Amino acid sequence: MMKRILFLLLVLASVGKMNAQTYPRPEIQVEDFIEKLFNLQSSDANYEDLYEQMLLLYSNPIDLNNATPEELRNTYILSEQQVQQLLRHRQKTGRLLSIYELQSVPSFDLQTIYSLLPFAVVNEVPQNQDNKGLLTRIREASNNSLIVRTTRTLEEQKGYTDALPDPDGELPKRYLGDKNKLFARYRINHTKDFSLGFTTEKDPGEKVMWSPSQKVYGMDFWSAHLLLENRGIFKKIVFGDYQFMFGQGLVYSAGFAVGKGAEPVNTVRRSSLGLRPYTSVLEGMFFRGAGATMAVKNLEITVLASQKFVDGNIQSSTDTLDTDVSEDFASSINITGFHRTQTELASKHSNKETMLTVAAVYKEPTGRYEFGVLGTTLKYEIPIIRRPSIYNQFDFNGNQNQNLSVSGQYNYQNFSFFGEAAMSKGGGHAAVAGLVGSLGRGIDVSMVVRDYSRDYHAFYSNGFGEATRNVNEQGIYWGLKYRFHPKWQAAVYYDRFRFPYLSFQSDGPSGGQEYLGRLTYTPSKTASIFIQYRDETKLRNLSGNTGKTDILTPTHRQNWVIQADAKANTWLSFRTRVQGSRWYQERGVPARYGISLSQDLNFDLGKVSISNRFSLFDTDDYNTRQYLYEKNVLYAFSIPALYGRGTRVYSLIQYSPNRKFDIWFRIARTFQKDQKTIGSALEEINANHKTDVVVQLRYNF
Amino acid sequence: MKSTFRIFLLLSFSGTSFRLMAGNDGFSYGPRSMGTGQISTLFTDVWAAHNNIGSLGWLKRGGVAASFENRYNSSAFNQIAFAAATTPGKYGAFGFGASRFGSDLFNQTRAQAGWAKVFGIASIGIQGQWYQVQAAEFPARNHFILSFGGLAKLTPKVSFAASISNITQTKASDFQNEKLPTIAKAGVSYNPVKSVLLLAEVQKDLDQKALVKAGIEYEIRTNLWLRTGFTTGIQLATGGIAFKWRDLQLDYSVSNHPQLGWSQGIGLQMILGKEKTTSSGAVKTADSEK
Repeated sequence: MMKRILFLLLVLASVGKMNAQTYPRPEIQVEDFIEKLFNLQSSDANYEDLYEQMLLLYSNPIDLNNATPEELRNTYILSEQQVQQLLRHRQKTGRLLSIYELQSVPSFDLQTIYSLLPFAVVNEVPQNQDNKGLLTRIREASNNSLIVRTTRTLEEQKGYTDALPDPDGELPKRYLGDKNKLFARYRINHTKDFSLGFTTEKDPGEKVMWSPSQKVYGMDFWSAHLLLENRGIFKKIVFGDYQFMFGQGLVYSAGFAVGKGAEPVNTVRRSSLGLRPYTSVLEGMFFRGAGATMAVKNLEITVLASQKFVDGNIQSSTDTLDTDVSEDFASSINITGFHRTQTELASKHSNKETMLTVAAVYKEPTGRYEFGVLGTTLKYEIPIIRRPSIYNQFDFNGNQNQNLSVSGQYNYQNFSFFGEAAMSKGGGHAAVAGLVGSLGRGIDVSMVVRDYSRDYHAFYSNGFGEATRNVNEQGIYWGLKYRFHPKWQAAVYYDRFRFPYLSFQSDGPSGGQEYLGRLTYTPSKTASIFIQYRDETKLRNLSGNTGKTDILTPTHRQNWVIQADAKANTWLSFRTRVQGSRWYQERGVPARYGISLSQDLNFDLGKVSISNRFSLFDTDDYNTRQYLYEKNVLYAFSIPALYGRGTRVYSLIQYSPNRKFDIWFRIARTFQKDQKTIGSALEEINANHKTDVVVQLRYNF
Repeated sequence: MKSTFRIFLLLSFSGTSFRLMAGNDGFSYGPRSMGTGQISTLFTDVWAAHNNIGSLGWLKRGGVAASFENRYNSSAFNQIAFAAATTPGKYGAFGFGASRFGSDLFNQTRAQAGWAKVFGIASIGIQGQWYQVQAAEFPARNHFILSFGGLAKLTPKVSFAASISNITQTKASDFQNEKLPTIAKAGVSYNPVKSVLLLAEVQKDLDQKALVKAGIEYEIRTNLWLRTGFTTGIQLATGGIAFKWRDLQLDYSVSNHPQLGWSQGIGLQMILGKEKTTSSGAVKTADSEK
């Protein structure tokens, strides 16, 4: 009943201002989404990468009138049933007139619509290109946006201190540059037409200089792209930096992949979005060159060519017989993108990666099924030869890799089946298959099985799995989400996995299981509370074992969270979060505990909004560290891993004087009174506190 | 000799950190349980005569069933089972079962009879079982096992069930005063919409860690069911399919253990009895609608 009344009100409201689909698009609460999608309390993945990728995805809202099923699924909000019904609705009644029309699509409940609003728009008129030339359109486009940001740690870190010669007269390592992090991004785009932009960045400690011999051209990192869409038979043409997503990400995933988390259903399936421009600053996960997707009837053919320099420490080995012959090799590819010290700078762009790819995807016109094949070859100028150890002996060694892959998906009623099978040079294989579906109103399920061999090699893969790389793993996963009451939702998953060969911290074939349960209560639009529990058991080497043989021991990691959100009125909102963890190994190692409490206080005063947090944390060790999702300036992330005992506060101010300008200021401080120093190596601070300051400016023109 | 060693090896997995249920104790009967992660207390079909005698009280119509199960691709772990039950009447329902697990080298034979009846929203049942264990050349041992069970329909959609097998803690052998395992199970089922049945169960063997099981049964088409589920701890992953034609139902299930591999089960059920209206006839379940 309430829903109907609300719907009527919404309809009335929309009649009042019919000329625009002017439901104000709510601010994106990115940290909430990240929190839900990623299981951050678990593995040692690079969260910052994931975060940046998600931001990219969410910074370009999808047009519900034009969105493909893939794009709809890629919001991770809609269930398979909702995707299908929205498509059916569009087919039957034509374009959506306004965002309010979503309410008349069966199975769209208010919760879903509220969640979707930040990421979706409804364009009333099709956004076709007009007859003006491209340059004119670029000049006239109204969404130019330039972001400039600087970040700085106030305390002095060891890397910036004067280096005193040691007894041998050698100078210890220090950073070459200053402690500011600088970032700038410019982008102009028009959906389904073009996108043009550049990004540049300098990490703290990197020196701004013009030194072509050291491959530094002012700032340390530069990236630019030009994407054209819908030119004759070309669906997409991209120049510069780009990413590619194919199938379930076993070969190319473009890093968008999220895995197991509090959203157990919508995230297990990868969306094969194809070619995308790259606008981020992660110095590893992109290609540089050109790519094009041609659409011939229902067949989409993509050709990619890329050549870029990558970092790595180059060494020489001398032939054991003929000492005049020496060969260069790199022990690894380094993707951190840091070039702060002489050593790091020396390894910058020391290796060259060349990639060629051809992919073809047949898409059945009604979207019932699609089927794709891909072939790719990737070559390093200097071969990669890893330092041999027992567990990496099946890793990639050499200078060339090829992948072949087939992928497909099939939609049947409210179910979507998907899968990909790939192989790499040398015979390594990887396969993943699964389904997501709606069993009934509000009941969504998912299942995924995977099998990745220990000698499968793909440098840009990110398929579903427990481990960070798609190697040496078998597993089966079940997910269930059920909204059993308009205000209540339960989400659970269970995953069982096996690592048939040795892996990091497991000197033997191992495996384990993991499950998570989350119960969310949303009594009103302005309040919500959830409780979550997660438990992971894995066979790991017994820690503190002094014997010669490692003993695999069931190792448990448990996390719980309770979080409550409340919006007191139009300008004041609260959030309280309590979370804890427990870590222990069977056979003797006593359990370690960690806990943290955070209180948020947010003010939204029109042109000014202020977010504040006070957190307290107390953990026994690093294994029980607490990850806290923090608000940060737009397009930046902050998920500190806190351990030990201490407090953390931050304050973020956003000031938007007019439509053109936004200014952000953020200050965050960690205080650990028992500590004499914070951080390690060159990041070490000789104090018991660490303070970070961020200033960001956005100019829309 | 090779097979003796293999049996020894497989049975000895019960001591590893991710345990296998030792021998045949604790496993459920019938492919339906097998496909839903070994859920056993909650199904109110003929197999309740093995799994939870109490649930038999809610049986809609009597019938007979047979199943064959092969575990881990070894003929030493075959199991054949039969079940029969009467349509519940004024005096409740009667259920009978027989099963044999193993090979000539090691086998367990069971035969049981039980009774169950619904009182208000809950049913209770009691069962007596003759249990024989035979290992190679050793003399067979015979035991009597007493079990209880029940199922309560808390709402038309939510059921709660529990069972305890071997409540008398029958002695298995005088050697070290070894007892046969006493296993308690408790579960909840939820029927959110007609075609979906969600199941969860906890199983506790007195001498082992508790296992949590979860399963789902989905009627994708009329008379066509898909099932999947898992058992934590021993980490079984299971799935199954069932098809019903008139009064005949064919079930097939598979199950995977991370170390021991695949198991399969196939079963046939035939409904014979006529539906009777009992005092509890108004309450519907996923089973009663079949």
